[in-house]
Amino acid sequence: MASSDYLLKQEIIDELGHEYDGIKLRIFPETSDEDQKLFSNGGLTFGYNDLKYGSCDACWYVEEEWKCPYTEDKISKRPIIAVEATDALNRGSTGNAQYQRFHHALGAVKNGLIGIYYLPEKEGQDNLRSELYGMGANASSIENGFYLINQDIKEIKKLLKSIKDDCSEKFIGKKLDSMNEKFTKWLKEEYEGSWDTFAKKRSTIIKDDYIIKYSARNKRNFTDSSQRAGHIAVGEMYLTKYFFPDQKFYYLWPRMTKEDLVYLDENKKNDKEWNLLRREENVNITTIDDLRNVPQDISTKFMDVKSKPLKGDALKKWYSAKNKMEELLRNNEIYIDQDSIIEYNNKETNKQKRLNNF
Amino acid sequence: MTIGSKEVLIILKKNFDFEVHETVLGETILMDPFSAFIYSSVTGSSYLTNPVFPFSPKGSFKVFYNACNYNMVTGLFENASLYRTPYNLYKKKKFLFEGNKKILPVEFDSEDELQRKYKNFIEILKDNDENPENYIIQRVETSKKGNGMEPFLEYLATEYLKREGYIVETQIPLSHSEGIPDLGGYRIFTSESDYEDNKLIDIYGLNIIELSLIRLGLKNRTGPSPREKSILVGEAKSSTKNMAVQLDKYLETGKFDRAYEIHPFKKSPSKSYFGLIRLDKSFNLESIKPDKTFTHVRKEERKTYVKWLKNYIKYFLIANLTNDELKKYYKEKFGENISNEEDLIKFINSLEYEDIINRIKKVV
Repeated sequence: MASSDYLLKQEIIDELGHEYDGIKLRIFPETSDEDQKLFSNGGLTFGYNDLKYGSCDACWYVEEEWKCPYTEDKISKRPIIAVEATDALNRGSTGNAQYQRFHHALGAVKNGLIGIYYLPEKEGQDNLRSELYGMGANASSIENGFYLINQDIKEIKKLLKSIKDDCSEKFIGKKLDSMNEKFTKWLKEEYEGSWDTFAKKRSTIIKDDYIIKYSARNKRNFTDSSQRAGHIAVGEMYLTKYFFPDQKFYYLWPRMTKEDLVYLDENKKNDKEWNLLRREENVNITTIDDLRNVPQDISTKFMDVKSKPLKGDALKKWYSAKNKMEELLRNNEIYIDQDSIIEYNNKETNKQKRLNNF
Repeated sequence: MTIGSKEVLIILKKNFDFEVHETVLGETILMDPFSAFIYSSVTGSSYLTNPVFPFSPKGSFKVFYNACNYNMVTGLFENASLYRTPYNLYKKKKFLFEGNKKILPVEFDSEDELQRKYKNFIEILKDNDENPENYIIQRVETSKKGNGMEPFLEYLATEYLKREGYIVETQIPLSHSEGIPDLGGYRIFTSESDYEDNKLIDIYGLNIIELSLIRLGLKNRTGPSPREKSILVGEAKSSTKNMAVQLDKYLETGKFDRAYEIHPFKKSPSKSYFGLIRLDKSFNLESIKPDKTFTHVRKEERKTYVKWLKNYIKYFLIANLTNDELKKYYKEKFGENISNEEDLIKFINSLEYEDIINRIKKVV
């Protein structure tokens, strides 16, 4: 975390203390990397279905038995609330970078906890992306726990109090209602309340039984660590997944080939974000090679700009090719060959690992 | 060779004349509250305020995102007001500037182990009628290469460079693409040029945060004023000795005339135009000066940077005031209220040091 995020941890301690009426806090300083360990091993990371999600910044727990869904180990600390805090808004982040840490608290939500994405903002500013409210509310409706988007530290205190007073369900229900309300208002204002309008403006194609979301990601985005493309792609992936929670979803990267995907699978086996992209349920990473009936001139344009920064002529070429591709995908003149999609080969489960070790 | 608990005590005693003080928790280094505040701000060592996440002001006093521009970041200021200033911290945490502090180096292998130690220390201190908040824990992370002592090395280097007349700062703002150097040293005033003798504080030979401690009682304690201007950059490492790539990148900005590698046991600088700050066999700090001054300083970049630094310093001086005092000051000058950050920046940049210092004198 950035050092301004360290101040957020300090704020948590200053406002809420290190223990709230028997509910204890686990939090580490900025120099520590113990947050990368699983909660059941003393850290602040949660895993589910053989997938580890990002590390959180703080977690409240009680001294009770808990079975970690990832390791299946029983431990004597039961986590209740996990918080991912970021000062991104105060650092001027107004775009999709706001989603990039959404998945950090998602592991906790999948474990049945209350996950909180805490993004404080300077007084008088209103830069929080409303998409986050929809992502959190929908994640709460389909995952095991609740996902709350929060901008006020005092609200976390109220949540802790509601847990002690045994009325957290009511508190969370109200909070989710308010998140849904904000999201619906935004959808109405920005997209006339229509998913079709949303889709047209947000590189999304809605089919009867699946969704396609396309983006300009290329191989270099993932091999150059300074680009943080993994984090942003994961954020965009969860946005689409939770906006269309019941649908199969193809995340289409037409600047990538199957060969690129195989290369990244081989070389990013230990990358948390890559694993999430490749293994999230109902999500299929799709390349230009998985599309059928693509006119030659379009695929040539994609390949011409596959490794180039999108500016100047390369940007023009990208726009021309992707606009045509979108039109043809909508008209079903281009289609995705579902049998062509490469499944991720890094699928050794924990159970398999244990068996292998045995 | 690494720096462990014992070495921390030896190094601080030998190089800065701090006393070793025996306590119920073992040997510590005794510091006055101002030195301790700077120590904690630079190293991130925490006052023992609680057993889970004890307090350190490190990272609190940021002003701008990048050098050479005036986009404010939450820190000393927020929303055109003074925010996390040392004086505001003092109002909430009086212990920070009351009574001497004891620096206790603690070796540990995991955060869990350290938190158990914190808990134990607090119990022992309370049993002995001592205030745990007067203890500052220097982390010695034995699970990390070099014991994770980079911040400690930054402290050693900045204190060393203060003696040479530099205004020092750690984790200095450059820009996203240029990176964040571990330390900067700014010798932008000399006695022969534009230095104003204000009888309150010498604006050289200090940590930039100290400029915000005048109101809290920091006494002027610097040596003779510098005669030569210089702006340096430094990078500290306690394990790997490879700092050249980063330092070259910083030098390429055209802002700095010298660069220092900071490594406790490195024998010589990686390049002839780098300096090196290191420890000798007896743990005395020593420096190897660059063979030649780096010649890639670009006049325009340097001029812009110096101009910005001269303004930047004013923000730390202004932080001695309260918000009411700042508003009154602004109103007296401009006849109206501060309405946004732009107003505040325009105001502070327009002030002369003497003017700000006279204002501080009124409230000290």
